[in-house]
Amino acid sequence: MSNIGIVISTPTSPSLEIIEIIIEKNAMHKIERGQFLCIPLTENIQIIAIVTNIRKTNAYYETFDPNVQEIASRNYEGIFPTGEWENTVAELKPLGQVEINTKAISRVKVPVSPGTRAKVASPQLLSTFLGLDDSGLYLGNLSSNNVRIKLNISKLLRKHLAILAISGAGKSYATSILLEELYNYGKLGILVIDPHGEYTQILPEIEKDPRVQIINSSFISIGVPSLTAWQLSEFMPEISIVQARVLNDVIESVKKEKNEEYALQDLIYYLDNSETINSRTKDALIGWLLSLQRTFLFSNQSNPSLDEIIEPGQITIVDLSGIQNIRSRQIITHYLIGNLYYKRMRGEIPPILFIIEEAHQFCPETSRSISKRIIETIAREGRKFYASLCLISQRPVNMSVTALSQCNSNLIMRIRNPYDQDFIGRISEGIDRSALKSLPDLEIGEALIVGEAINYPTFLKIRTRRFRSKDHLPDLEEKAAEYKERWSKNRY
Amino acid sequence: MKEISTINQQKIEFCSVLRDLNPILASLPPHLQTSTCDLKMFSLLQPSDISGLTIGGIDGGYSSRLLLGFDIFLFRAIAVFSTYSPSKILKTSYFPAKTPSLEIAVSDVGLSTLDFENMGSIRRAITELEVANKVITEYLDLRSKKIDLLLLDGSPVVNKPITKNDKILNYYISYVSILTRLVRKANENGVKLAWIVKDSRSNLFTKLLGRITPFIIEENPHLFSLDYRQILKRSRDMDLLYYLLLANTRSMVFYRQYSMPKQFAQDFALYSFYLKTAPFDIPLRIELFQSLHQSREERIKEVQILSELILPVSQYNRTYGVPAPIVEADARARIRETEVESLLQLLRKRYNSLGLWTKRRERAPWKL
Repeated sequence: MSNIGIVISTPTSPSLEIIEIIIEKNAMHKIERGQFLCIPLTENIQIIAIVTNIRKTNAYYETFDPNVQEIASRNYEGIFPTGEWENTVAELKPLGQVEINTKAISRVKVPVSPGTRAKVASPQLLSTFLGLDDSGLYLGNLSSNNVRIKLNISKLLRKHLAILAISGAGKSYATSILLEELYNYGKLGILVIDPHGEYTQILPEIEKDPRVQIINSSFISIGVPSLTAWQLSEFMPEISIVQARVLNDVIESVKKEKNEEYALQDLIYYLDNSETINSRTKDALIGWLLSLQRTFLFSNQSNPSLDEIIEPGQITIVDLSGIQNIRSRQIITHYLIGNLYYKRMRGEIPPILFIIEEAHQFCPETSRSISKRIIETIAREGRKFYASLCLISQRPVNMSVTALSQCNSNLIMRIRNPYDQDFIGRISEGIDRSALKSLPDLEIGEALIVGEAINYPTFLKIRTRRFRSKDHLPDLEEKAAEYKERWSKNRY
Repeated sequence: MKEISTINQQKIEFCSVLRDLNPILASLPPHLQTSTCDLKMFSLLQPSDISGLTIGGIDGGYSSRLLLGFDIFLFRAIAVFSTYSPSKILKTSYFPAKTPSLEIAVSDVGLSTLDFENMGSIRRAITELEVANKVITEYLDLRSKKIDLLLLDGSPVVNKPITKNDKILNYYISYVSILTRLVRKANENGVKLAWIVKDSRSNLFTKLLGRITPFIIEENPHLFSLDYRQILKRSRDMDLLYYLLLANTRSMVFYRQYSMPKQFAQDFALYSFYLKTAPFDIPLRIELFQSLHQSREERIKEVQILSELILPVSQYNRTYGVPAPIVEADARARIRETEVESLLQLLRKRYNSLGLWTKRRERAPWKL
């Protein structure tokens, strides 16, 4: 690697906090903000530093007098060789040091010496420093250093992952890259909760693959006979313990009577005709059961069978786009995730990753949600049972703090809302002020990976998808024109 | 304080009258006319178009250190050339380098402070002249470049040191020799050579004015009311000329007495004039050697061209009017304290000599 610049001595640099270098003239095009440089501390130790700022200096303009332009018969640059005095100074933040022989990484203990030459860190050195894994999940590239960001699957997912960004910043694209990598990895079970049916569009090539299963919401039914009173009462958060006990008695009675072939209607009928149950309890239970029945999610049989949807390397996408009611979506999510989690606890299914799009709908911080408890439970305890979460949201501030703070790795894309930024700063360990400040300026497809998955918060460009998407999504103008055409035909 | 205010007021009044008068010098007695070649006391100038011209500036940096075992001088000199276009500098070159390395000289032990200072200043002047000489001989020949005007910082006048130290005297002789060679070489190559004195403390012009004024008063009796003798007695050239000259004007050229080798003195003489480049800055004193074989008109024309070339590179600020090539050369040649300290540290590390220690005062392990 060629020299980029030389460490200069200023009142504050070089120190453990900041290193300033003067960029060599022929290296101007090689340096950019966010780039990783290496500076030798000894023959065997390299300091890794990141470019945090680049500034230009020119002694001719340090005390520039506005009168200059007023009197100069020709401009300032026409009289003085000002260009000869322009220097480019890069401010670097030392991140750590790597011992070349042992590859040991440690914090910087002594500053580099003034006069030392800085170079662009090589991909090998950077891979060691960032803790990348050659056989890990390839999510993107470090644009400035030509390094492939391959993250160790355990470090990335075992303690959960959050993908956070505003709408249109590339969350779903990044998730599809993750799915591509997991598809190729082929050992985890994956359940994707897809409220908008995006992933069926994104991953058409693997749609017909037996390892990919798409479950349309209209085919989902929850078999009432498979639910205990306590499980059923989780869909009705307002139910009291006494009412749950009564419901349990009702279920036991109906089960004997109907021989495991019953639906909500049977429970309602039984309640309605019972003379022994307190009328207030009866009315409340009937009301709740009717509200569940109106979701059309419950029947006397479960579909699909939970035993069939998760296998090693299988991706199951639950397309909830046909359901508009959030409560219904939460019921399905709770049912699927809860049951699969317990199956995983019993070792009946492979290690599993739950990818939940629009996670703020399923585990909000303030409002009630049927699925919140199970998601928080997995966030807290899933690690022990190799059940991981990948929570995707455009409003992190609305998400359960319990769930989000348990996500030890975060892939953060463009975030504009200051409340969201602040929230991310609080829940995400290791993210510093400067990284946080740069979140609104990230380009589409650019992300900051921070946490357990990587040794240092790093900006990466999400790689290009290998699988082609079904169709490009029409923009607003195309969609409006298409509708108008259809509307005109129908009208006349 | 009142006296200062009164004198100042009178000075401004006197200068205003004299400036408006702009006396015709041709009517002066012959013994005064030899002091100048100009026809009038002040000349209005028109800045030249310097597009396509190459103008250079030369300056030197100097520093000295009295160490335990050695007294050392540090020098460097640099020449800067810029080729101009109507809107920008086309190219800037540096000789011998953009940042020339420091030249170190060790003086003899036992020099008096005056001799040490004399030696330092002569050697610095030699370094600058050597660069100028090399520019005109080597640089021009090697790169087939032309230089239209070469400006040197300071005055060419180095007085003969009053010393018994042969080494210093030899340096002085060497200086004069290099200076004469430079002037001849520049003349042969068609390079205009001028020295720029930024902060003159001279009163040569004031003295000359003192001799001329009586003759002017004869024809302009309203000057009688002003006590011009008192005004001139209490003025230096810069002080007076700040009021006398307007921007884009120059003073008359006056002869500058300077002892030079006989053969050289037959061909060249040193002349000075003041040039006001910025309205609110003191004038520059410009010094140049003019060929005595030129006619009076040719000499006036040469000064006029030179002044009009200096103006455009000096007009960038209302309160500061030093030619840009001199500013650039000064900035490049300046020896910074940190540079000297780094060099001394390097020398101490390399030679581990007690002689390179600084004074005990500077080595105190505390800062009181």
